[in-house]
Amino acid sequence: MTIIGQATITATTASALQSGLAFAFTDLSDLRDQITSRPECPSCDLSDFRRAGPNVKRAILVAILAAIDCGPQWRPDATALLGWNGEGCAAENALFWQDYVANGRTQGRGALFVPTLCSIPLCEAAITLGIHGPAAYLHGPDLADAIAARYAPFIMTITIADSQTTATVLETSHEA
Amino acid sequence: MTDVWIEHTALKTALGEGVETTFAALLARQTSFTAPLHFDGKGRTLALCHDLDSHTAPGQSRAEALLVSLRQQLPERLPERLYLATTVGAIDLLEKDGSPIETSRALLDSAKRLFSARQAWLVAAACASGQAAITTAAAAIRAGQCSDALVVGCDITSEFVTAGFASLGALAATTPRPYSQDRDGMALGEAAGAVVLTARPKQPCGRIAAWGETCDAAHITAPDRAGTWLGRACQAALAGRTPAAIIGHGTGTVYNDDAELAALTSLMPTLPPLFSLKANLGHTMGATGVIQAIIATATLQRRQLPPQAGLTVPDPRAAQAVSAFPAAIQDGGILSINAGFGGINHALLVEEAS
Repeated sequence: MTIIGQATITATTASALQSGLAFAFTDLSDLRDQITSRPECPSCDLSDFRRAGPNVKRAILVAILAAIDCGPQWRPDATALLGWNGEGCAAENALFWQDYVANGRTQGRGALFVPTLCSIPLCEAAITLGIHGPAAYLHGPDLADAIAARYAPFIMTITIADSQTTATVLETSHEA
Repeated sequence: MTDVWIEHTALKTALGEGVETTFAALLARQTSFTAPLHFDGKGRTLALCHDLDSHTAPGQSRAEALLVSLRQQLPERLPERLYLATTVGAIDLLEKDGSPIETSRALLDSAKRLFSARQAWLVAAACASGQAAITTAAAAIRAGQCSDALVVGCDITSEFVTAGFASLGALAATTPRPYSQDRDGMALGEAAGAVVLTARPKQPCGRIAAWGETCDAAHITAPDRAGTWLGRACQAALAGRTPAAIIGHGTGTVYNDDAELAALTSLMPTLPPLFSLKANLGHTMGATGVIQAIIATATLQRRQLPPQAGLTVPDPRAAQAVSAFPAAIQDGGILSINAGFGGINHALLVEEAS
């Protein structure tokens, strides 16, 4: 198993391991503009980016940056997505519920409900980059076991946390 | 490659406790939709385990009470590895006090304790979580990481989830009608199912033969209606085989059943018998994939596929495959399908143990 791309986003900086790309940003929209203006940025559908919550935005941007870091080895059709540990969706759950209660418990807001699933940031990254391999969020004791149990030629792991969001793309020994 | 067998099953649904009880009710085309007593359903009916209304201890999640029922059906000695599939876990704990807690992880902690697991994994793939957990565990067995594993799927009905799906316009006006022309949405349900998977079977009741997983990468809530990537997941699971029957995801929403029928008819000009349990048990979200695998083993053992409840006029693409009466099945495995928000597609092939 080989790492072919890796990217990290902190509160104010972003970087890619293999390519040496580095960015300082004021907010996530600023980072989006900087990353997508790079000539090596792969084709992306960012039409819904503005409406996304911070976890989804971070997942999308770190995935794009990791894809750039893979260079010509980037193969979205043959890549699986694995959300790994991270902070889950406690904040999104609370946001949807508090909004529903505050508005008289009559009607929930769909835009707040959908992100209450832990797998949503991964799937938003998949939609953005056209990643068609399996996608799942796992929380457990051993990342190596989780990776070994995914059948795909390439696996992108994404870990989302307030302080740091990381994406790593691995080439496995599995065939397409 | 190491074979993965299903050694034990346990089931708790709105139609009863235990595989036999639920399967008999499915064969009798029983449905289970009633008004919730634990929250204001605003006139909606759901598939409910009403015994939980009085048997849930103060401070205990309704989801944990479902797991207690499973524990009682399983052998005393269980695998050390646990894989839990759930979409929202112990969401009722959030409803009670509103403070932000990771409700899926709260249920994972309960499950780890109840099933005396040494290692516990949460597998979240929206409404495909159940089958994703089964194949994650099966892959771990095939990779030699463990020789057996317990897979549990569990989700409850809640005001949280009901309000959420209502806001998306995904709920049926009355009861769900999967694969019918006039289908208009899903109904939610609560349930839990468990399977013990092993590489060293003693008395297996089924075998995890193969699976396929893809992502549409098209839309966050709607499936790709052409079913292209769902079809590829099914193709990977079938690998040229013709299934004896299909247990579809069959939520009863226009879009889901459209995508599913498009995918299936692109692979098989004549569909084998097709059935969705969501007109009986409701959409049990993270639990449904585990329950479908359990019902697949029961179907193979009895050589009989349950009839389709809620059927009115079948969708023309499903007309030869769905029936309001039980169907005898030919040789072959059962293809089980899950699909989830985010475009997650999952196809699982379950075969006879013999």
